[in-house]
Amino acid sequence: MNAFAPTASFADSLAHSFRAGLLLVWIDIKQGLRKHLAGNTWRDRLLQSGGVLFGLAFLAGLHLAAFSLVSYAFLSPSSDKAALMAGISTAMWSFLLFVMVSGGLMRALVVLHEQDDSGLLLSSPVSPRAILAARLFGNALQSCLVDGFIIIPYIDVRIFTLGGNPRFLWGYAVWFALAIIVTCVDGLFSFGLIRWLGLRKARLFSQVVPFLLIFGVTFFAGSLSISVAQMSQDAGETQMPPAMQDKFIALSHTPLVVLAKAGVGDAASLAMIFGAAGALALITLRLTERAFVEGTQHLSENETAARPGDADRPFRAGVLALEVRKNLRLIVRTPMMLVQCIAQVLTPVGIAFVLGRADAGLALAFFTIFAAGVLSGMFTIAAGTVEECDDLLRMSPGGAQIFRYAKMLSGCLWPLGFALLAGLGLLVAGRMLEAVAVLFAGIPLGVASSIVGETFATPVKPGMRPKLLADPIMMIPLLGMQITSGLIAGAAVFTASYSLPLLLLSLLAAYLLLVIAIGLAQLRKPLFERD
Amino acid sequence: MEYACEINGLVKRFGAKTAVDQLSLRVPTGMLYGFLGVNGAGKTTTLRMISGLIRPDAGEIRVVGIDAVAEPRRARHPLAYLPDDPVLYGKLNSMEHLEFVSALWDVDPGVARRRAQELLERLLLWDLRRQWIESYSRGMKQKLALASALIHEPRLLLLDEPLTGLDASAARMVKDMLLEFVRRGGTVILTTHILEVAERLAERISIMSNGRIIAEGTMDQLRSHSGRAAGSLEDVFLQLIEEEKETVRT
Repeated sequence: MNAFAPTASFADSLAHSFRAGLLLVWIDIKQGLRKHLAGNTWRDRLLQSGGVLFGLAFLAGLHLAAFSLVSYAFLSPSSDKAALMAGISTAMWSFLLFVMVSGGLMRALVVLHEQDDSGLLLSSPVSPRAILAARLFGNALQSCLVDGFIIIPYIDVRIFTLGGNPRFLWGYAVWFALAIIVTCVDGLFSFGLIRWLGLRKARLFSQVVPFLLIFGVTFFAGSLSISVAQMSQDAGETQMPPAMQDKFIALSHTPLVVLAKAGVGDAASLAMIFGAAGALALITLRLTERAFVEGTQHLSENETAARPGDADRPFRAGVLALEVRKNLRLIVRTPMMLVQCIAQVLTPVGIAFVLGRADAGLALAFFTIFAAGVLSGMFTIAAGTVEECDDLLRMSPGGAQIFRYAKMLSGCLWPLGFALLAGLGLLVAGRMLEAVAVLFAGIPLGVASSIVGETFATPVKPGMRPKLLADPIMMIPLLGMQITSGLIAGAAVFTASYSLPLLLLSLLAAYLLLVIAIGLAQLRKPLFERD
Repeated sequence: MEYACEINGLVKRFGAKTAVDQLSLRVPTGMLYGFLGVNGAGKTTTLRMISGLIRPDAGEIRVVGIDAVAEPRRARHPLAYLPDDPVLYGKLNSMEHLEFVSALWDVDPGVARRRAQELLERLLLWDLRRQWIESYSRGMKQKLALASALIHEPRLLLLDEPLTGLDASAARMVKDMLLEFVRRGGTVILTTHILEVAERLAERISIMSNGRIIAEGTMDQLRSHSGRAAGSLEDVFLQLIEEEKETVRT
């Protein structure tokens, strides 16, 4: 049993490392499940049930969307139907790859370099390579689960509908192989970044990467697609317009088509994908084992303190104002959060640019409503997730409730201020309907997002590093905010281009959301009364 | 004499800072060895190098005769390291945690369960074995961390501030366990800022400052090193540290 005694064979040692690696993956999964599924009160369980129902409804909706897309393309007359369908597959797989890559670097940093148990694991006789392999495998699994919502509906639709084709089952294997590839690439990249930049700057950079990718894709790839105005013209058509078909067909002639081919079991493409995954896994293990052992352990000793930044003016009197200022300073002084927030601000710029390039007023209205919704929630989550001396706040004679409002106010202050200015600007420019959309959809949406953000945020103890979006549980409200904000912004802007009565009807959605958010906040314990 | 830990010319630098500077040390088997120093003296870095968590820039480390720099995996097998802020899996219960740690050291699952029960009973944690660790108090966590260090029956135990957060009775319990571990042939290297504990438990003590050992020996040897005929370890320690500061200043 003693695999490390002088007489122990290489096979014994290998078997032990393999067992320990599997056990580590299992422990991580078990802890993750318990973390996200545990609930002490009926309110927690109610929220979890709501979350599960929301997830299922979301997945069902995505299945419907995938079915619509596939059947829309499948039933449209085309000069080259096979290339059109291959182009759609390529688009879906490329989107998955893009999303995996954009979130993967941050996951790699957290999973490979910031795990608290590295000391325990690396002081054991288990091979560091086995620990690294287990961490990479767990990371790939997480990547699959987090980003699976993109590809699962598409694969299911292709397997079971429109004649059904079991060869699309290969998609599930390709899905995992892609996760391995992305995990290894991001893992290698993270080690390089830490070596060159240090952990703090690497963490910052990893936040910038998704933004750069999203911005780049929306500007360069997205601008090649059709605009909102064109989509409005084509909205009545039941067949895919030839211009759109041509773009998908062109995509089927790019190297990315190998993903779509592998997804239907093409032997050469599968060999290429799995070969790349295997080779990258070996290279990553080989190149990064030493850095994993040494680098991880050196980080805490070498990491220098962050500079205070430029928010150094003294606090002024007044509990609420003071608390809001403190929260804003904590966000500014937690660079990871600041960069995430900025990335979230700029992402809708790209979308607005692409969708509304034919009409600047519409584009500004869309961007403002979307940004107000997402940023108010995001900033509130950030304000509620930064380190907090909760005992101190509980003891305050001001009462915990005021700090709860302060978190919300810290989050929505700037986004709503911007929305107000943009709305007034549109009004002055004579774009009355767009101004109404911004002021009466954007502002309630921002308030609702802020309430939801505060409901989900959990402050960390001083000295702990807030993980924010690296924590999948935070992804759920943020994703919800992005989808909801996108829908409300899209509906408001779309109806604003028609008539006031239609616009007013669409505004109801924002107010309904506000009511739901307030109800949700009542279900959840106040921030500073949670365990 | 057989040594559980031998260190020769150990050096570790972090950037421009030399955390451990030409440190040499021999800890005989079956001894509780005190490792003292002010904050930042290099104690934790030394323990982390012995445990294989940090690779030294220069020098030799032998753990029960195994070259820990050349064969780190083999050298880790007979030792356990308990850091000052031990990591426990909050969402596991204590049995699950101990079973996981024992699997890392390749202990047979049946044996591991038996040992886990013994340790948890001894540390008065058995009744809480089904509760998640995150619900434990700081003292309970510290006791569980000690149990996870002992679960694979190491020969060399590296303890960094093991009594932090323990109440008087728990601290007594832990001290008794350590002395029993030593009586059964184990070796303990212990850092602590509670000098009375070191004075009462440790057979030999070394005092570190600025990455170097400035004094080493039994209590009597330390007293004579500081030129005192009597006095507590605290007196000796403070005097030696002051003298070292004076030397550095001049």
